[in-house]
Amino acid sequence: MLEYSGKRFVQALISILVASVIIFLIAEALPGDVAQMILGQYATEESLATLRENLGLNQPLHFRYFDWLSGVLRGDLGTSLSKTGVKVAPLLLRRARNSMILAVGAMLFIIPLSFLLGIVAGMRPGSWFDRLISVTTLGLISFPSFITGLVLILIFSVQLGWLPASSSVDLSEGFVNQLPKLILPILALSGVMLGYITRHIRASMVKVLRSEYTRAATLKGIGRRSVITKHVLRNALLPAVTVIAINLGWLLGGAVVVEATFSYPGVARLVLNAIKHRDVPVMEAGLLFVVAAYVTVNFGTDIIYTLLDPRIRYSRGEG
Amino acid sequence: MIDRSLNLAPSFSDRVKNGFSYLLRLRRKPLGFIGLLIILFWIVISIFAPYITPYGPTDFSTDKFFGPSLRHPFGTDRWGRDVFSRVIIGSRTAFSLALSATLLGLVGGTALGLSAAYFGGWVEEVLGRTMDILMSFPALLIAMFVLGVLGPGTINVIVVIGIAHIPRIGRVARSASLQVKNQEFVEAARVRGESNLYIMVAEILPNILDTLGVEAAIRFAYSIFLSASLGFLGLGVQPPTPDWGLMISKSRSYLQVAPWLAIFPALAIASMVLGANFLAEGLEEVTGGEQ
Repeated sequence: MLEYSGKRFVQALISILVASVIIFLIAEALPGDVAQMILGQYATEESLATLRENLGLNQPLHFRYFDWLSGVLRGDLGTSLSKTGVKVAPLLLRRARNSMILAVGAMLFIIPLSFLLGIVAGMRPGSWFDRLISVTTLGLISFPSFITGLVLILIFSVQLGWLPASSSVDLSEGFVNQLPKLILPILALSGVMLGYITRHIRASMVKVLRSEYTRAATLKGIGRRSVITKHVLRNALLPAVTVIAINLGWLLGGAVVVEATFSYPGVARLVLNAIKHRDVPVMEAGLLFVVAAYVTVNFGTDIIYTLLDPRIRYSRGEG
Repeated sequence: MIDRSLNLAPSFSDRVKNGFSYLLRLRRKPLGFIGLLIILFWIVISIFAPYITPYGPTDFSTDKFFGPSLRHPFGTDRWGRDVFSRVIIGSRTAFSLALSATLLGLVGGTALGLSAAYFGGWVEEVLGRTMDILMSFPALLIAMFVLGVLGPGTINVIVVIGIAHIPRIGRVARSASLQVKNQEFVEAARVRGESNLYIMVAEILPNILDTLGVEAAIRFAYSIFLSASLGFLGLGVQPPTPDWGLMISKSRSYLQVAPWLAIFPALAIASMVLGANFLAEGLEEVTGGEQ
């Protein structure tokens, strides 16, 4: 177990490191001169040269990469180019906290609901409830979150006027005050993932219910209730752990669209705007953060999965 | 010269018959059939788009923010452009983007997945690991980053979405090929002394087509989904080309006064993605995939 965790940890670190190289190289390859961007198009050639020297832009690429990386490790992410003088690290932290609230909120909503719907539908495949869930979840995964978001805005903000359409949250005003602003973005973010996870749990339930060992347990004469709670659920829900982790990618990717729909100040929109404004330090830091978060979640899931299912420990490497 | 009389693989006409029988069997799968109808509907619409639209998709007029009426079934936008015409012509943008991206993903993914399964060993190892890494990042995020560097535009969107499909299609193609690889007719071809390329293309590929067909429908749905999202973020097709995602993004400031600007393109996107997903579900059932 320790050996596996150690190996997986090193793997995660390497993934992040590789990602950091790729992010840095692509960001550096962006068209446009950073010095020109800071000083504007009327800058003299001399002042441009001085600034390039000060920023270390004349140094070789690998040198600049290690410079950047050591900054990242020390928690110094540089200053923003588009918002003059703003330090990237505190900005990123604030945005990250907002994104986390959105993601955690969505998870708290999705996990219980998808388990409930998936299990009930999967217990009676072919029933009207199962069909209903099947069509509804296909619908959920078919609607991009900006469409779900717009429908929610049209209903709850424009028509009913219950909830705000824009979510420029500011947590310093107290969490409870901000709660109404969070509801619609969380719902919009949840749609696709709710659909996917429910479908997976349902499919997994059906598969386990049809398996040999469920038959065997039933034939032993244990009541259906006991078969389901003791044998089926445990085996059917285990794969859900991985599915949830995979879908966290959706939360991070889908968050861009939701954050843009609701003008929500999260990491993803920070990165999107940085890309649009060629704000290289913010872009690099934001992307690295998202990748690191993603890799960490995957690492955590693998470890939890191993704890839950000891069979994995020895067979994982072959997959 | 290789003697192909010892060919144990199902013949070409058998396969065509098989393909048709799948489509026929869709009749008895309500979801799949509805999906097929929706996709056929959009195919007809996009082919005949210029004959259906009453106005040019980029024609300005003085009828600004008109609600849906007989003259403008879906209303008009802030420039007085006819939303109905824009949605109809927009189906061409959506189709061409999604079809090209799906095709790119299918070709790339199948080539990689099939070779990984066929050659095994280190080829499989290297390809598998590379795809794992590619797949471990959210597709939309990669797309956003790459489009930020390359700049937005139709071709770039197709390439980005197509590449995002490759690892997923590759995985499906690989596992399907693994099941075919050890069958008798492949062995027979090897005994005949066929080249590796011939065996992969002429013997294995035709036998994983049904699996790839289901996957293509899923990826097509996802292509529409992704390209609409990228359009919405302003990283996709650039104005004035009528693009559904872009139209919705521009409608946001006028939700109070002109909700039709958002509703109709949203319905178009939703119906096309839903249709493709329904079709995929139906195809999966009739080709005997997972229930």
